[in-house]
Amino acid sequence: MFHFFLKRKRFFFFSLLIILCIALITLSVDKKQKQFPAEKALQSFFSYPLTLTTWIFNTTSALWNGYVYLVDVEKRNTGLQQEMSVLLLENQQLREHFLENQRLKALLNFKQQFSYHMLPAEIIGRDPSSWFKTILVNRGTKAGVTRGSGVVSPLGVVGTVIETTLHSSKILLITDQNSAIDILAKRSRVRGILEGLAENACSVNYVVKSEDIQKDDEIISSGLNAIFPHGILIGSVAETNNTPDGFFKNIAVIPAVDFSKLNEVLIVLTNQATAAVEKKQSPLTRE
Amino acid sequence: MTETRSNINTGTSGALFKTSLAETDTMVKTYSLYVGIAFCLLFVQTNPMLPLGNHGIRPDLLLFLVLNAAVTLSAVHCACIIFIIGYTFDTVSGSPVGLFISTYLLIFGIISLLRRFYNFNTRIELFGLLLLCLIVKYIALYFFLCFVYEYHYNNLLKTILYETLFTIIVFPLVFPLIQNALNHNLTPGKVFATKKSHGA
Repeated sequence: MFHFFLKRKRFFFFSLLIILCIALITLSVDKKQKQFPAEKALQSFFSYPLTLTTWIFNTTSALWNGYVYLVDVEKRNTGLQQEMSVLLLENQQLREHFLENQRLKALLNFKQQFSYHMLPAEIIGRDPSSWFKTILVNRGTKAGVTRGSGVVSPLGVVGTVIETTLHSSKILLITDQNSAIDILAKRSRVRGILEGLAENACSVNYVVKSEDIQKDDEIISSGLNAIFPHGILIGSVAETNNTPDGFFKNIAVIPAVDFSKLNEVLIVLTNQATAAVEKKQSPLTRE
Repeated sequence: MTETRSNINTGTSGALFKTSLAETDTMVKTYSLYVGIAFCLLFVQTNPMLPLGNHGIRPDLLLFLVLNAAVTLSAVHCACIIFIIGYTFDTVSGSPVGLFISTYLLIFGIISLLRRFYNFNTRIELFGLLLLCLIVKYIALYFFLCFVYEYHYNNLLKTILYETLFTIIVFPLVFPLIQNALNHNLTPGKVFATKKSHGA
């Protein structure tokens, strides 16, 4: 019997390999499944040299920009001072509006359901394949990042966290085929689902033909899934058209964020995640 | 049972289980080198500072390593190495686990078939083989993504064209480096080359 297996060992070896591949593919079709420990270890191992390279690059460019490349700094400084005085005035007005808003909300007994804490993170890697749109950042479970956390930038929504290790996280960009976000059209308040198109564009699905969405309309996050705060800019409508058959409109959206120039992001943490991290890091709880 | 054991010890049954100390040493060295180079290439490919592919389309540097392994190593060891390379790639990228393992193994299978009829020695031949590998890769990826994972790609052609272009551009720069690194560290003839003679 053993001799039979030995004689056909190459055949059995390759059959085993094919079975293993099929098993891995079958397991990964279920998108809710958790990461294998080997995957976590590999991703974690890989994030350290990437973090180091990013740190070296950023330090060098900071040195260059801060100490060596100082041409036109005075001119830019004067311009920025003027801009700052205008913004300070605007800021004061906005503060007034904010306080007024708070008072009115309190009057209406408005209860805020979710409050968010933003965690800054640096991009240390991009997806090595051309077929998927993910990025690696240098913050992981130790900083309170959990699977499913939203990721934004000052320009707009970036994506969601899909995998985490101790010191790094993988983020699925809104332009990836697997991404789906609940959205609102800012002008007409029409709701829909934003999905990635695997290039630098997205589409809004499930908007019926009779709804009012036009070119250049701004698309914002609805805030319903508690992943992103309400009202964060996602992008603007580039094109809309009605297909002769079917119930829904074809809406193409250009994201507000230029993903190729993105260096830093903000991870949206819910209050529970922040509290858990603070509890972990507190010296009293350690004792 | 006794007969079977003696067969294993004397090596009459084949080479999968009979390895001497020197062979084990070479095996460890080969695997370490391939995995090390794969990590370096993946590091370059993942790095956000890579000038090529800022819009998410990048050259496939690991394909060069797969190509080199498929041309020089024996089938069993090559399959193991490609499995490790594919698994690492799947882990680091956003792809479902198993996608690139299967794609790279399919490429290896086709190269193995071709090696029965032809020896790929010169750079031009290897370049031709690379083009074939790219075609096989796109067909395999298209099959897996559309029929297994049910993705809907709208602009597939752009991704394919840019990736092919970037890969072809970097091939003359990176492939000789990989070959040199492997040839420099592994003594020719001691690597797990196939024992069959290949007719040109």
